[in-house]
Amino acid sequence: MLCYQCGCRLSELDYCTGCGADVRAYKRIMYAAEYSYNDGLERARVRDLSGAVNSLRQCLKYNKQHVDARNLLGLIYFECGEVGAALIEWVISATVREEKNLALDYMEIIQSNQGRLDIIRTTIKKYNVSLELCQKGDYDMAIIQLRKVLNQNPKFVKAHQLLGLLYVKREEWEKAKREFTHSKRIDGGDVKTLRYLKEVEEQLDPDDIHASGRTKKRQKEESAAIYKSSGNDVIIQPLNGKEPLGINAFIQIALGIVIGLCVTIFLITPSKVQSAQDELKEQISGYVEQLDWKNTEIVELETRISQLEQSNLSLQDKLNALSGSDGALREINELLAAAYAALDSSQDAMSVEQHLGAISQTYVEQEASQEFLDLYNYLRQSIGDSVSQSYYNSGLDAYNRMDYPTAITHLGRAYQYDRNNDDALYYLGLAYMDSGDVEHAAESFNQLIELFPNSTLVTKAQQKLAEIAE
Amino acid sequence: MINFEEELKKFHPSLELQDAEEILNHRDMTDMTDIFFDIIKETDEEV
Repeated sequence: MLCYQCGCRLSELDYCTGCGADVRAYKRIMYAAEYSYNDGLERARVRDLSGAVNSLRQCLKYNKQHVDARNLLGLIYFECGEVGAALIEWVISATVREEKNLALDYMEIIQSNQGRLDIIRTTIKKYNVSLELCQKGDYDMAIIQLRKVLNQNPKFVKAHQLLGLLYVKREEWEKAKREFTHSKRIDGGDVKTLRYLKEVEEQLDPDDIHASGRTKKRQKEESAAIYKSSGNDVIIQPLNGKEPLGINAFIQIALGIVIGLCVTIFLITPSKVQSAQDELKEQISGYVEQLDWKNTEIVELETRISQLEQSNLSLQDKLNALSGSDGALREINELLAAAYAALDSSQDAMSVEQHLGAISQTYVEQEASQEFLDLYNYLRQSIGDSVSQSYYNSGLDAYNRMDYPTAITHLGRAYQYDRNNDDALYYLGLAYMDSGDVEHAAESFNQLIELFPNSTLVTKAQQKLAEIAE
Repeated sequence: MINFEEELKKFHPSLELQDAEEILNHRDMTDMTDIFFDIIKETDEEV
């Protein structure tokens, strides 16, 4: 303790040893403040919060600078749900001591959780609204509001007390008792709560002969039952009920079994059978649908197969036409072979002719392409003279040997390769004539006369024609 | 027996947070030591 005048530490004497000031009364005030603070602290420790509040207020009346008392008072207000009052005390405490003060920590904790602070603010407003509703007579709405408040702020003592009072008004004693019990747990020294709780317990006490009609009815019920409360519900368990014994029980059990069987047979089983049948029908219709679809697919595939087979045959025919013994591929191969023989210096003109001779005249005249004909005619021209002379010589030898068929063939080729070879044409006619084919002979002679009018063989040809005519 | 109306009168609105500042400004902070100092002062002045 410090002197109020000079700030010197005071001794046990009644005056200050520093400045000589009379400190007797001052010390007694300070001691009284400390005594009240200690009392408040003890009461707070045993949850007598109302008593603690009174003691701490007394302490602050003696000494408003008592920071610990003010901090504790704020804490108690906060515990009872009175956050506004708590903040006031802590703010005052912070102005008295600005550093190393628990009040600063408490305020920081509250203000750091803004969500919680908003909830507290709302609950206080709702409590005030509920009080107004009670004063107006709207008790049901007040109860609803108070329940919401206590959901969000379960330690709000005043709200518990007011809600309990409303339940007392409605004679819902168990609920009222529950609220007052909650309130007592928070503040065990609140005289209001204790008084209300005593009143309610008297209402619920079955030994009370002055209880009201409603409670007497409850007494009758309670004598035959055990009452247990579970939240908002009251469970009544009868004590004197007798269970059926012996043959009655057996009959009842048998009856129950029979009823159960009947229900199963006539209600449950048919519906299950029906549902099973419906399921099977659905499955079957699904399978039938699949089957139809598969059949349609099969028909389509069969049609496709026949189309493909026809197409295959057509393509095979084309292929055969191209690559068969009479096919175009064969003619082209012969032409290529003839071209190669012409380019190959080791092969003679007869080799070229051999390949050209293998080419069908029908193909040359009707089916050959222009490129084919160009090469074909070029090759024939290039070998024409030598081949013609060669065939003429062999044809003439054959004629002289009276081998007329060979003579006709060779002389015919000789003329074919050299259209200016009138000798080959003349001797061809002679070969036809001597072989008996006078028609072809006449044709050859006429051709000679027509194509080679200046030839020395024309006169002889005319003589032969005269012989044929005879 | 609890009289609801009478008991209801004993209930007062709870202090809202926005009203705390106003309450704080108007609170009488005089304590016993302030009274004691006033008495000492008056005594000294008389003397």
